[in-house]
Amino acid sequence: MIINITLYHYLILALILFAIGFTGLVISKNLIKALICIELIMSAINLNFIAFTSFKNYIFLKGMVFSLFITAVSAVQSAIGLVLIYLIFKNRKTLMSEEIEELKG
Amino acid sequence: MEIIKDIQNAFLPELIIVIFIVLNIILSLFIRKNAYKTAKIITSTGLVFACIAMFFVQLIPEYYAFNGVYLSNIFTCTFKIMLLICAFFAVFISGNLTGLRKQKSFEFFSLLLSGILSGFSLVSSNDFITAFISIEILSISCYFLTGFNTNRKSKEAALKYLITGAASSAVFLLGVSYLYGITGSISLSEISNIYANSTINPLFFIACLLILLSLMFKIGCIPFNNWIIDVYEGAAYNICAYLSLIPKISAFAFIINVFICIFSFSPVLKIISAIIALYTIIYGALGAIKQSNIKRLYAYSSIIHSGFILFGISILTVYSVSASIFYIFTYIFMNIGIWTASIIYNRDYKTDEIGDYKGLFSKRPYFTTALTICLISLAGLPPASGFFAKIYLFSSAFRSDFIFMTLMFAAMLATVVSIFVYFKIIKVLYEKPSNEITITKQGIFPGIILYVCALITLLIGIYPNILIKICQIVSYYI
Amino acid sequence: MEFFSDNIFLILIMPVWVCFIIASGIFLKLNISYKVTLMLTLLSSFTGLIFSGMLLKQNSLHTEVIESIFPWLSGENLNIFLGSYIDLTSCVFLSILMLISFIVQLYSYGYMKDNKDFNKYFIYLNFFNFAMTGLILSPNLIQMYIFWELVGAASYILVGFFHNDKETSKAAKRVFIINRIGDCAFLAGIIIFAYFSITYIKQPPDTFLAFNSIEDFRFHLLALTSDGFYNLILLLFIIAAFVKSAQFPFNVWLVDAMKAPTPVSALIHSATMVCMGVFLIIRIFPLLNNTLLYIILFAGLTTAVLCAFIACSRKNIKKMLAYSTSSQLGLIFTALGLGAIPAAIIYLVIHSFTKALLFLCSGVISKTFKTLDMDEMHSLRKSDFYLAVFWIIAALSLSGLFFGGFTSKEILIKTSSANIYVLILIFITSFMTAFYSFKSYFKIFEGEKNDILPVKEKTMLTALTVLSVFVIIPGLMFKASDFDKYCIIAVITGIAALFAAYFVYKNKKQMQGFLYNLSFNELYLPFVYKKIGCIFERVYAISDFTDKYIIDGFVYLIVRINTSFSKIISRLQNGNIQTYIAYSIFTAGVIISIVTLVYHAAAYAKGVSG
Repeated sequence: MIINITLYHYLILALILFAIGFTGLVISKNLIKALICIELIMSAINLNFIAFTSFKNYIFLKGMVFSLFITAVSAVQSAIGLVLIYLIFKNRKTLMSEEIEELKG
Repeated sequence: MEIIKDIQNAFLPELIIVIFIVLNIILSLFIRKNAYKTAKIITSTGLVFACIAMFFVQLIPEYYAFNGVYLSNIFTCTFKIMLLICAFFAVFISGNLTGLRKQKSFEFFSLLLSGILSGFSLVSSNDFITAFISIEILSISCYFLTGFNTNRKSKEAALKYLITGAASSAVFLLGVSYLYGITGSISLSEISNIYANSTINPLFFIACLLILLSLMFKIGCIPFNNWIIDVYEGAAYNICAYLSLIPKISAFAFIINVFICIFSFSPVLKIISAIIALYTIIYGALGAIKQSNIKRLYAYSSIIHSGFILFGISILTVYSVSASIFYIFTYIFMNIGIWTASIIYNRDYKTDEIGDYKGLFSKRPYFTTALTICLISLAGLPPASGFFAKIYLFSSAFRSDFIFMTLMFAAMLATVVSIFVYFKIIKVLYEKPSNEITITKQGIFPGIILYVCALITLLIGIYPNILIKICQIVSYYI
Repeated sequence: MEFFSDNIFLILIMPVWVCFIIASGIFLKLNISYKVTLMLTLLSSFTGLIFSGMLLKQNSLHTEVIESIFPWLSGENLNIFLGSYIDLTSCVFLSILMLISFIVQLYSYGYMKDNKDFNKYFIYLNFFNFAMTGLILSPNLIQMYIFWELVGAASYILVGFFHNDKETSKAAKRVFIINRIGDCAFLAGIIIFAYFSITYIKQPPDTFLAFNSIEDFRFHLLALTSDGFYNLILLLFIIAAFVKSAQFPFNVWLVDAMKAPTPVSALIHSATMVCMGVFLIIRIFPLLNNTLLYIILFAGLTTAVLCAFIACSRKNIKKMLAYSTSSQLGLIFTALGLGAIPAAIIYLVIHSFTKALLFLCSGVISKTFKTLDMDEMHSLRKSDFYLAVFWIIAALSLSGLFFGGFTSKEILIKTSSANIYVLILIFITSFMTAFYSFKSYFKIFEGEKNDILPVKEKTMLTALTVLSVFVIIPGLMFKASDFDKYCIIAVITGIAALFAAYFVYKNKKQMQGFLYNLSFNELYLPFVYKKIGCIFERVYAISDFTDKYIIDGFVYLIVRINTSFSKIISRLQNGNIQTYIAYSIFTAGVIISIVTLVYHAAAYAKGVSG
């Protein structure tokens, strides 16, 4: 069947991706999985911006520009996340977020 | 040539800071010994130049640089001056970076400067892209600064900061994307123009809500405040001082901007943020009672004060916003005071527990007096400046809608609880000392800064008039 | 000439500056020499003296008022201004203060030379100077209240100066607490005035409770309140004045304040601080109507007679002088109650000098005899002739027979000559005043033995000489044409009292009889006070119970609630970052949904009903 792919389809897709990523971030025990989920969330938001830009005929393509920025920044963020995870791993030899609980109370 | 004109009119301090960051990084390759002293001197010179450059920035008619992205008016100037004051203090209380490796001094100071740079641009941002980039740079600098210590706690704290920071940026972007979808622009002034005339979409409401929540994270309000407690415990003392001020002040400036441009059209959002602020104060006050670690206690105290400032902002009248700005101003000095005192005592006793602060008054009487003054100001008692800040805040709440008045009474009750928190520390300071306290030799700077802060706190408390008038003028201009 | 009025803040700052210098000397353990402290203090007093003298000369011919104020705290409705207000009254009071302060500081050097707390004492003296100057120069009621409290604090510190003695500390505490009653009344009056001023009377902001707009204030206030209520409000201020000047129901603190060192008693409790009540009444004089003036008159006369009566039987010199001060201030209030402000001020000025002279002499006497009990003193005239001369001069002036007191008493009698009852009571008071002044002279200075070692201290003698000059000079200002029949009666009363005192002394009779018993036991007033106190004790038991069980219990309950919440919050922080995020989203969702639902429900309900 041919359904017209409207804006709302993209938005709902992005929302589902965001939800999956967020749930993964909250649930995952492995820290690297959490980082990946952050990347997922950022891509979902990228999708949001691009969908809005292409479906609505706005004058300036600010959304596209924004998504470029988002991509760059999320790359930086995951790099830094990896650095920090590596430093923790060096000290404690574990990547499970349940065992990294020294600061509490 | 528009770029040069823009730079000269609005961007000059930031440019100078960029130059000094680059200088720091380049010099880190060449200079091996005396790294710390050189870095400190260069950084302070950079800050001084930035200060001087503030005078050349155009203020009186508002100046929109870079095609409406970067804003420069009296409001931003005030906040930049506040940020510079914090930066000066943060640079000078760094002490000898005990626990850090000295070769990394240049990176340390360049991170400090980049945090300040992003703070500046967050304050002046008129556009969501600029804001997002600034938030990210600020957060990344802070992640690294938190993890700068070599013990395990700071790495863990940095990781926690990163994950929650990333999550909040994600939520922020979602909100911005929906806002973009509805209005077609990501510039604050354009959005406020659009919404001045038309009705409100439910999607707009959700978008604003998401933006609000992510900004609440940055300041450390409920419900996103758990990271603050752990991060402050993990970071070094001078970083904590830096962390409790620079991200917070820049975030507050941006929040004020966003509130005025976008949130003023929907009263529900104001009430939501007021209730969040109130809940923050209560949570912070209650949570701090049981703490025995001085850093966690100070973290809860910074949460409480964020709550107060947010309360003032969410009322959104001229008086209340100026009350918030005044509160931020006094908060700077009180905060630097207590963190500096902690640095001094930490070098002596190498402990983080409150119980080990017993009897400090007999060993270091003048420092303890200054610390007491700062704590009294935080608690909100006269004659220190915290009292006037709170009174001004509450009187502006009193004059606005009825609902804010009721919330204000609850806030006042929470203040009482927070007074207990501070007096717990004061009581311990004045007890009889245990015997194993030795005094080590300290550098001059932390002591001077402590005295200066206590003095300024007292002075503002005795003569708050000028400052209040300045804040009122500032808030007219937003 | 404008230099003096423009820079009046200099005399306010100088004592503070000297305080800081001496205090930092003590802090840094510098061992500042006593002479240096004295010189600095004298410097500040001397500057004040010059300023006030110049201002007096400038102001004495015209009644111009110079005011300079700056804003301290300004909110929307409430504007508190600080500054200075110079008119003839404040010039006169300032001159008295500076002069007596100078003399007392000079005297204190000799008196406290052997005391190791010398520097601290001078810090407190300077602080008192500062507070008093601020009070005299205040342009509105609020600054006056601030400095009123500061003066009370200075008085407490100075009375409790010899703090090693338990009795002195208790006495200082009593002094401060009773002064608090006056302070509370003052504050209550200010709050009521401020309420009316802010809500109903729209004035330009810099005249908030100011003295130069006080007549307009009276007009507006009378229009807003009933007569009785107006009297009640002003009664608060009058009570404050009475407490500070030790009038009848509140005169108990002056006797306790005599535990202070003698120069302090001379400065504070005879010459300056106790005049502040008079100063307050003069400042709010345009607000007083006839009823209030009758109250002041009545209270003043009662005090005058009562305290003079009690003073006749006192054995301790300083306590006698304390009651004498109350009594003379009662006479001053009488003059105020009759509306004669110049007479009151003249009497005040001359009384200050006289009383200060008496106190300083008693200081020398106490150093000579090492006691203050008059029963153990005798024949000082043979050893220390000059002291006897000074005491005679002061006694003659106090009883209104000669020198300065004569002038002032005559003016007082002239103003009250209209009212015969007032006149009779004033004559009775002057009889008793003369009686105790001369009785004390005879007791201390006359006798047979010759074995007293006089105290020869140069500074003390210089101070006494200067002061006595100031007591003598006003006596020459009496115009012979003002001499009429009432003056003659007054002089006769005084001389009669002199003879009575001589008679009592000569017969060495231990005075007995009903009147003596009454006077000795202070009219059984302490007994009455104690009985009233017993009634209050019952009330106190009830409030004690409430405090211990109900209020404290409530506070403990709140504490327990708070600590339990705190434990819950502590357990929430379990260190796992994901739990943090989860909690935050959950809480955020809860808050937002609740608030939105409630808000829309409220808006819907308002839309439906309204």
